Amino acid sequence: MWRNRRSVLFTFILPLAFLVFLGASNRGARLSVLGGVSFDTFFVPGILAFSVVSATYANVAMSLAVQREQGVLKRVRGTPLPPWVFFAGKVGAILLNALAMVVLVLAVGRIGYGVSIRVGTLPALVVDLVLGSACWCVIGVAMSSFVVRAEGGSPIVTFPYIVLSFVSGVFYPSQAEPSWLQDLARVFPLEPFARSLEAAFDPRVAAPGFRPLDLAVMAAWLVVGLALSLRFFRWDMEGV
Amino acid sequence: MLAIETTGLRKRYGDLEAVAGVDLRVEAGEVFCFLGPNGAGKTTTVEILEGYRRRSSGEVSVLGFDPATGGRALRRRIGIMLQESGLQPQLTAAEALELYRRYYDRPRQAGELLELVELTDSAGVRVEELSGGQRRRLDLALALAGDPDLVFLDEPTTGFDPAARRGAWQTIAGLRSLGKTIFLTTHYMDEAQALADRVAVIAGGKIVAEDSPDRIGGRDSTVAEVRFLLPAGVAPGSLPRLDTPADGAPAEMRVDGEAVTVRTARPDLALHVLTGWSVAGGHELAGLTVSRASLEDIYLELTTPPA
Repeated sequence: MWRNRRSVLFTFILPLAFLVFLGASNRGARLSVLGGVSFDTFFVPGILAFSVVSATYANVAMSLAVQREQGVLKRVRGTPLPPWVFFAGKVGAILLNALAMVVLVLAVGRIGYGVSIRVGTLPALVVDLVLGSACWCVIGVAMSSFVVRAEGGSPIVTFPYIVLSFVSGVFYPSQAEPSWLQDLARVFPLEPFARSLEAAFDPRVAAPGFRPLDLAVMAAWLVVGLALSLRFFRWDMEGV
Repeated sequence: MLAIETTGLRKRYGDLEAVAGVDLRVEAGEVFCFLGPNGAGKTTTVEILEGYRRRSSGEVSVLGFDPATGGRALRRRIGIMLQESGLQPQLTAAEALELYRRYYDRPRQAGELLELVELTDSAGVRVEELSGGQRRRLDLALALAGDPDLVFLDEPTTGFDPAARRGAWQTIAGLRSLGKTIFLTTHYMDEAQALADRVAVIAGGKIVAEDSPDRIGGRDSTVAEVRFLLPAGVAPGSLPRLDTPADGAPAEMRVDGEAVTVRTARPDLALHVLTGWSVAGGHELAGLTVSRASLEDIYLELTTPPA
């Protein structure tokens, strides 16, 4: 993966840049809309959610779209390698990168912003991260099927989740948005992911800090993504 | 034993019937060359055999499997060299072979494969930095990675220089001598001529001819041309008469400057008369050749729609 610059950009550079620049400009601020919680406590989990989505969804979708266009998927399909092993390898490698990114963001959050993991909510944090990554990986597989040309695929893949990031209260609280927009954001799996991570870091939330409704939304998207992938995934550029 | 058999194979895309009833029989151990212009249904047929596309109707058997449902059991025993080489560009040649050979139960050694396609010196070069011909050779090695019984080679030597092409031909001939079945598509008629045991030509979704490269399309019985140069001091009128051979096959002689061309269905008879005349008269028939329609001539005749 390190030989592929685009992948490095999506996974590491972009989220880290957001973390450093956006974080630095709001350092130490208190958020009245969130009951006076420190900006950092809100912001670090938000960037964590954004990082995981970048590392999983954007990477899976782009990597599959590019490999389809290159004909790599077609070649793999012609070998005895079972498809599930191919996907397990791809998703596994991408999850490892996502894990590295999670560790990096948490380290920067701890050192730079003094936001630490709470022992009581640690199980919730792990469950949130696992379900969020899995759900966004599968959405990435589904999305790759709709990329016709990988060159033009980058905006098709990135645009929805960048827009979603801005309405889902990842970079700044979404409470200032009209309520219909907040409700809409809640239907997609980024807002619930960010909120559940936030709960794991918010000192006012009592352990264990699970948010069942948010987890249910992510699980539902996992199923939807899986169904779309099975229905629409293609190994080559032509029709069957 | 048949390696491939299709009966009444058809594939429709909407109103278009790309493959309109194709019957193929490929014997195990032969080099079968599948020729046809672009858009004739060639690629569709091959991709149905390879398991990439579903047929609309007809029977298909590849190594005894239906390729639509043969799955891993079939893919273990075939090797596919696609026309568009799809490879992770960041891998080196050796890494690519290491990666893909692991997908098979009884793979060949990566080093041995590199040697076979003469890429040993480029083992550490990334795919994106290989030349077109080198990438094609790597594709060939990848198709052979699983030591397949049946190899599909789709335009295997496109972009090769003449020496590399001869090298690839040797590799393919070597596979044949190991008892492998080779299903070859190519646009190079000399390649078909050099390698194929049998040739089938597809046009308009149907097989229009199938035979050995020397006999296809009545090539062995078409009119042949005998050419030679008029010996010095011999007037065209004093050449022997060739238009009344014993069996009545007509021969037509044309003299153009010093070049003499005889068109006849029985070049053996014409030669008999000519050489008898030249030996008896002490003349030399310089530049003597006998030629029949080339495979390319026949191919073009078979695949050009009547005007």
